[in-house]
Amino acid sequence: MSQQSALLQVNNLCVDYITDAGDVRAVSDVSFEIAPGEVFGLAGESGCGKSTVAFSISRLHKPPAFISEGEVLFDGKDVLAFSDQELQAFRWAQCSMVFQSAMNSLNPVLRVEEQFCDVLMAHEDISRAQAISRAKELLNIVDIHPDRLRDYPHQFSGGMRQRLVIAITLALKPKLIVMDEPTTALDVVVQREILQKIYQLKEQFGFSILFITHDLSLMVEFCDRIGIMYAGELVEVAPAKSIFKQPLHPYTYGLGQSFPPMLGPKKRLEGIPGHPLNLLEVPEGCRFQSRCEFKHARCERVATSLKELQHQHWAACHRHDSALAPITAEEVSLCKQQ
Amino acid sequence: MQTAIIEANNIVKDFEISRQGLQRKSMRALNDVSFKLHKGRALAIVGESGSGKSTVAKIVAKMHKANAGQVLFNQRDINEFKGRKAELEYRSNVQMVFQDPFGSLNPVHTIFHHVARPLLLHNKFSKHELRDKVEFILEQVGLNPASETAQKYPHQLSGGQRQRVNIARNLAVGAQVMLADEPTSMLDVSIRLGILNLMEEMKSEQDLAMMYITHDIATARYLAEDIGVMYVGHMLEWGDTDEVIHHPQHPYTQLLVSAVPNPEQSIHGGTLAEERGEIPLWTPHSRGCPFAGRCKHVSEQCRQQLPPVVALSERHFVRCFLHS
Repeated sequence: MSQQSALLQVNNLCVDYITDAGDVRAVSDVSFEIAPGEVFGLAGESGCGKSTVAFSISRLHKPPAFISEGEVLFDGKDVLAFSDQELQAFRWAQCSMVFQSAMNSLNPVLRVEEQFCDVLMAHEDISRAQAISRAKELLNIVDIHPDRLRDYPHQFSGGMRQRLVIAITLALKPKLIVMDEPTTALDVVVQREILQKIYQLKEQFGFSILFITHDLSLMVEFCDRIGIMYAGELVEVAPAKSIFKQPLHPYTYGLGQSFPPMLGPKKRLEGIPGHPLNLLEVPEGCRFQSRCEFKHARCERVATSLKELQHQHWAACHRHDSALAPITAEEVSLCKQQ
Repeated sequence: MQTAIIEANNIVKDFEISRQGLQRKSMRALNDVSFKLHKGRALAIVGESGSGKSTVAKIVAKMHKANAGQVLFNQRDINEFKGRKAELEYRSNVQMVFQDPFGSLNPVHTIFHHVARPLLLHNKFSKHELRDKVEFILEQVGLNPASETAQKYPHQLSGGQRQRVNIARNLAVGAQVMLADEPTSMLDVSIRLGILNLMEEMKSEQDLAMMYITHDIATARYLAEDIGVMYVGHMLEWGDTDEVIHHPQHPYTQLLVSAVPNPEQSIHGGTLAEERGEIPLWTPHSRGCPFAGRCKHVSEQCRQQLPPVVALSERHFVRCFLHS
């Protein structure tokens, strides 16, 4: 799935963790791309490798994590081959990141002003006065009064701190912002406010977003395209609405069924039986087999790989080997009875 | 409807936040909160962090004492349960499930110990009976095979399984009231529904009265018949779950419901109809409606006095001047 126009291209990425209990392949053969101005989402349960993918993009891994295979192409250049100097120029200026619980990533003993100047003056050859006036502009963008630049982080509410962090990620006008669970620690009302702000800024500045969360409902609403990860593998990639309306992988279907609806009749939902896979005990064949309603003999022997089953809709499941068959509720209940 | 097993009337709770010399500053965590819990039904309490929803549960569990108002258990004031025996009796009936399944089990004891202890504390069993009883309870909460699970230590179980152990401990003492404080928020998405379904079964089969505290309105709707919406220590709207969620009458509930992620719509369109405002710190001297600072329908009256409770129907109440 290579496109010339892609801003970010991740090809066959593998990340290993070297642990006492054995080597764990946390990310296995993951490939996707993000177009300029696109919002791409990665969803999955904790431990599925979605944050590990995010860290790989700006090469933030430290031992025991190693990127063992694959390539990360940003604007056609291989990030994994960058020298330290190139990497420093690339990080934040080209690709910035909002970390999980980002509101705690501000330094509590420095004034906000200091933290803006730090980023701006490290990357650009500007005076402190210029940096401060830039910081004021940035605060305006995220609807915080510029006078508050001299405040400390604890003087802001959670949502405001999150907006400050977003303002800092925007400081160098990056082409890609990686957002790792940017709103998990926030209340729904604040979450919506922040996401609407981010979307508005994206329209204004035209950056791309890699958005990571475990909340599928939120993701469907916010993203253009979504990739679903399970146990280190990408199992389905499709436009947001088709992931939600016509999931092709049983895991995606189960994940969709794990969020009770707000409207419509109340009915019993089952979630997904079993437990997430322990990556030290990866079975032969499909990784989802022990939790899958549709398991058959082939799943136990042959590993799955992503195939384009419909236009722009990729899934890794043997179920569709012979003919394409979207998953329906009737079929799932039928399988259960057997 | 049958009489309530827990009835809370006009609870007020203040917490001291600072003390300088003789000057004490306190905040009002709960103000005039009333609700009822019925057997075989669940009441969901939803609200943002800091709205006082956990404080409500802790007062019912007798972990905090209310400054004013009264909580009745089977028509009896819970402050009357005094002394070891009476306290034991109360606690065997009213149990809590906490948010963090990783912190609420003792890592040096087996699962058997965790379930056996409440059994022994409240009942007398022979050694043989005890083992059977523990395994029976573990099976009830879906921890199969029970004899094997009983031998394990907490670190050998997943988060979902640990939360099941916590629920098993509620069953072990034969609790009639379960206060679940965000029981699923620290669990993996695919595991959450299993726990909610288990709670649903216990509610309908064991006839438990349940309080389900959450910030997730969709799961509140899934589990609970009744819902109460809290904001800054006040219950602003409560009643039948579907009625409140689908026809919210209080401006805050409307805001909250509109902010819930909905895959059917897209974030690209509309913005929240709300003027930004800070969530206030409520003190015993604060006046008016707590939402007044953020409400688009605000009037002078809202800033002066707390709105009265208005019954919109038999099972729908709202605290707002728009409806009085």
